[in-house]
Amino acid sequence: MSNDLEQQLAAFARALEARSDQTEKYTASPQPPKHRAGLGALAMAGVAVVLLVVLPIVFFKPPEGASPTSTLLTPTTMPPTTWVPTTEPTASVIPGEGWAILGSTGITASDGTVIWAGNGTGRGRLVRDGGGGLVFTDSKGLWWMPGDTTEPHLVAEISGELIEVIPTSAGPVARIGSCPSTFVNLTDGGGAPERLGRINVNCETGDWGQVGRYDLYEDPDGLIWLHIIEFDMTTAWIPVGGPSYPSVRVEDFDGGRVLLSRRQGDLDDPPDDLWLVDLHDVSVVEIPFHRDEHTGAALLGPDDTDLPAPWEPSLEPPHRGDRTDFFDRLPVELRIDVQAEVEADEGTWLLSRPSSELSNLSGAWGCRVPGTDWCTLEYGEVLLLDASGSIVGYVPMPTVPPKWIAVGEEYVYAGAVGDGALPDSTLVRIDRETMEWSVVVFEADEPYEWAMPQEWIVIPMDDPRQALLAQMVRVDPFEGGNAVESVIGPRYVDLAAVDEFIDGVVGD
Amino acid sequence: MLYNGVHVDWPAVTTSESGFDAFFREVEPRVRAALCSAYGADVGAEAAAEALAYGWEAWERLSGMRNPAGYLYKVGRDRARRIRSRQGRSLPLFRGVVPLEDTWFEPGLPAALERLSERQRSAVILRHGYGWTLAEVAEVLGVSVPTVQKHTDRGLERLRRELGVDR
Repeated sequence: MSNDLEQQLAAFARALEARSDQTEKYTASPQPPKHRAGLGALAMAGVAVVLLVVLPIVFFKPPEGASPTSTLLTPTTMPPTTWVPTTEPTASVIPGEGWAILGSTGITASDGTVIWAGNGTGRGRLVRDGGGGLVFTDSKGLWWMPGDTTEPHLVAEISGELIEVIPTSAGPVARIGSCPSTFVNLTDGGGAPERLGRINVNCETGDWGQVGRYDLYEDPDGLIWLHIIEFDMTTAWIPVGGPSYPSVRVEDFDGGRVLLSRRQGDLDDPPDDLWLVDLHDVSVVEIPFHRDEHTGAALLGPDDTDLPAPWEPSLEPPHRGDRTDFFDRLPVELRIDVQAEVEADEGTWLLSRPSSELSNLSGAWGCRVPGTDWCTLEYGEVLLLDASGSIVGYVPMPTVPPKWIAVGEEYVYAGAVGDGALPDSTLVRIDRETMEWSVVVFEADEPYEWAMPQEWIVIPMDDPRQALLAQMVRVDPFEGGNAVESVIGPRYVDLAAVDEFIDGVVGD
Repeated sequence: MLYNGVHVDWPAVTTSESGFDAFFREVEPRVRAALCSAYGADVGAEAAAEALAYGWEAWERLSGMRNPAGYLYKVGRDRARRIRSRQGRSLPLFRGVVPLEDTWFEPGLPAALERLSERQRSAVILRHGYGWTLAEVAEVLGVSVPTVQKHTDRGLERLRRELGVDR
């Protein structure tokens, strides 16, 4: 390089630095921008994701007038495992379905019914009692609103986190604190034994659910996975949180549905969003709510006894290696949203992108696929499914999800067509027998080479071969062009020319 | 790197000492320079500020990364693209960048740099403007050394052609 140009570039860099110094810079002073104070405090405090953190019991005392004992019972015999309310709730104000939200103005159901117009309840959790009623805690203690009443009443002056309410033959029992736990019989405010119904608490092993239990598991990449186990069988393994939403709590779980709250700050903050996960079809729905009003939420109705289908990963990981492990682990409902499909003797070839539900959830981890520089929102795949709908093989297409697909005699062809958001275009060729693939990327304005698999071949922007793409893939019919399945309107592709081109660049 | 006009070697990024403060001192100039090279001084500085703010919030996670500077560069790049699309892409990248006293560069140099691809522009400015090594450029941009070399060579060749500068 000539000294002259080098000196000019050095002078330019100094001018650039001087100009950037005039712009207001972020300083390492400890106060983050105000709207991020929650996250900042979390990060600086070194608080790891809190999964069902509970406080030890500080005190336990039934309120005046509540009966009769304030000591824990020592069980001599196991209680029966079911509890049937002695009377059916009458004239209940609590709907039999949907959900309810506890806030500073009381409890409101999802259909708009004001279940209870209270005030000043403080922050706590809202839990079903298994008999049509609701239970919650606040700064005063433990409250119960049986299904046949219109007002909650104070059961016990007890502090600590309300974990769940367990139906027993002696009535519903509230479990306060995770381990150790204190059990309070809601019917009389007294204590209860440690083995109750479906729950067996073993603080040493952490095994506290026999029939159904949930875990929130943080993986090494900071993603938080919801893990549901029922009868020792995993029925759900779904990413629900991550670096952008590091605090996730299961508000309720009825065996078939999970109500989750997520926070950008810590668990003491009001939630930023609420999600309802139906384990039967792996649907994920965001629930609208007023953030400032919410302190707890619960599902309504009885426990779901229809056991969800076992979780089935898309493929036994790792299929293509660590980089696609994340997608292989997902249930197929979250992984595949079919964009286009073509039939062939070997099965169905699909163009797919992650489901919109996964895309919605992926904000929690900034969309970044663990172990990669890929973003779930920019990810696509070409998949081959067999007649049963199982994935036989696939080609990951990060940053350049294909827009068209065609089956030829020997190969399947696909390609991305660059647009304003993802400007690169591609040609993809997959051997129908061996699944061996070639990907050629036509680099556009903003190269994504950093995120591309190393095996891909990149045609740089200034390479004259760039012009060939427009000859091979066109909007209008042309001699030698084959109509292809496309998600962006009609496309015609000269498959023979694509073969020749790919053979040429692969051989380079 | 060229810092206040003097070549200095980067210390290794440490996560001990005063934690984020030490990290910030080491990394902020690098990330800012890289983003300013790619997106101009105004957008680059703003994007760097946002990236560092994010780094502060996500310090727990960031401190365990192998290449936190590269990660923050990518965060900043996303922010910069957003800022650019908000501002409109017709604004010149290097507006307001004028030769300092006792220095000179071709008036057409900023526009010629802008016509390079983003990666070529960053590689050329960081490598030959700031005087970083290929490895240093590669680390911040999150690419391999050969890739930096390729973009640098191509960018320089195009600059020479456009500015009529001989080898």
